[in-house]
Amino acid sequence: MFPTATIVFREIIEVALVVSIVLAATRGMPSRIHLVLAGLGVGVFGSVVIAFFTDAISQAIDGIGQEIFNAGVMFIAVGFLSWTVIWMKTHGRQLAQNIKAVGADVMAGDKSAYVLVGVVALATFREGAEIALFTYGMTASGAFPLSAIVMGGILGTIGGAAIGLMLYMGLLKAAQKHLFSITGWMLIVLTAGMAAQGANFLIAAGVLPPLHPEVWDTSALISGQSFIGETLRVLVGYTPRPTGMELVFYGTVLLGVGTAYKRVGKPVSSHRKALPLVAAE
Amino acid sequence: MKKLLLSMAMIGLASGVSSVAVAEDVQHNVTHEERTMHYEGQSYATTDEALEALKAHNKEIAELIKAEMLSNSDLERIHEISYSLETAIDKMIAEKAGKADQLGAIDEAVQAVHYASENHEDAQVREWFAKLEAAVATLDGKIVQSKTNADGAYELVIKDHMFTPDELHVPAGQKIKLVVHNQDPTPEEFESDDFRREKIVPGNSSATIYVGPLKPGKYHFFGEFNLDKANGYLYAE
Repeated sequence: MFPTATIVFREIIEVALVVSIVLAATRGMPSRIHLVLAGLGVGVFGSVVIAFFTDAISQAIDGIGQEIFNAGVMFIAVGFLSWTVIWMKTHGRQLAQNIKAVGADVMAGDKSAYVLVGVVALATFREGAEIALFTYGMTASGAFPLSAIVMGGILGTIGGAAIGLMLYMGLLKAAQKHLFSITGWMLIVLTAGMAAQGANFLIAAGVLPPLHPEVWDTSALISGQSFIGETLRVLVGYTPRPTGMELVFYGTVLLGVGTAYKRVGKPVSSHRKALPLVAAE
Repeated sequence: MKKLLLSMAMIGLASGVSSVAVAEDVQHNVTHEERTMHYEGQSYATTDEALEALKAHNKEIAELIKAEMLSNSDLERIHEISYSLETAIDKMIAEKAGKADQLGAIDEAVQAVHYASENHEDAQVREWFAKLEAAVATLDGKIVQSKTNADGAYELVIKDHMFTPDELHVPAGQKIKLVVHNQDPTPEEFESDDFRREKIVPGNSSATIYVGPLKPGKYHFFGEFNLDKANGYLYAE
């Protein structure tokens, strides 16, 4: 039971951390809970499908199919998350101020909220597929009775979800006033970390050069395998031995999305002031 | 005293007269001509074979020098072995199967043992053999790089959720190719936080993983689905 619980906990926590920040960041967005739940549904279903086709994915593209697939999942997630962050910046104020009625207006005709489904589904795919494969292996090996595996899975899921819930509640409490900007920046940093992970998959596939094998080594300080190391990896993209290429991706996304985030949704008046007086209007 | 006995023995042998002092030790008479005889060293196809031979021969010498005094036949045998030690270390130097200074230390010790045994210098043989053993020990398992297959890839086998070998020695500073064969029916995730790779290897199949270039150091890898059993280390040297 315990090996199942541990591994499921490890994987679920990654999903839970992403989902809880997304939930906190999109506070006020109508029906976001439904969208997130839909995302989880798609994610779980997709995980099982991916797990089923692991063999085919692995063999694809001369054996680097898995790396390319993982990189793809990462980069699409980067796109969706960036979109979510910017969208919340532009609509967040209205959503926060004018409660449901206006919220519905904002949402009407704006299909981009469905991006949220994609964000959650993508965050679930990889870890979900790992859980599916792991539990399949456990069941097939017959080392543990099915009931123990199921119990372990449930325990792990509850544990992981509890950590996510704690983060969500903590964020709502601690960041009351600046919830949007705090969670917005958290998502940007998280997104940058995903971009770096995506780059690492492409390096593993031999598609990208590492540029520099190891820019620094903090593995003695915080090991990548430790609980803190893993949590930091999800939250800020921590890696004890980053390659040059990963830092380039991290920096680019941080700078790119960060700049866009700062620019969009600024009060129009301040924008006008910054512009030189133009006669023609 | 030993030296005295030894020189007496040598004189005795040189003159073709068996000395009483060494008569018990000498199993068959060794003439002066035989003593300076040159032997043919064994040849080794691979550095692994050479290293194995180096260790096997050292073991034999270690047995011989357990005797309080080396008999002439012992010294003769050691001298004979030294030829094979020479070809073995030459092979390893030629193939750069280790760090230059460590191979150099072994080479020096082999030469010294060779001459000391040729001249029947008991103490010298012992002294240099100790150095030889120490030098081989530093080489053993640390510097010798793991074998690669025909494609130049390092191979790992997962069987019963364990890695074989569970230690890989690879060159630092260059990209290496790792092929993981999962011989279990269940899937495994080959993972390393240290060299930053994760890849699912389905049951009864193989996966190729490119690693590095790595800085010199020790890197942990594991099977995420069997953390208690599937563990190993990769040494970049």
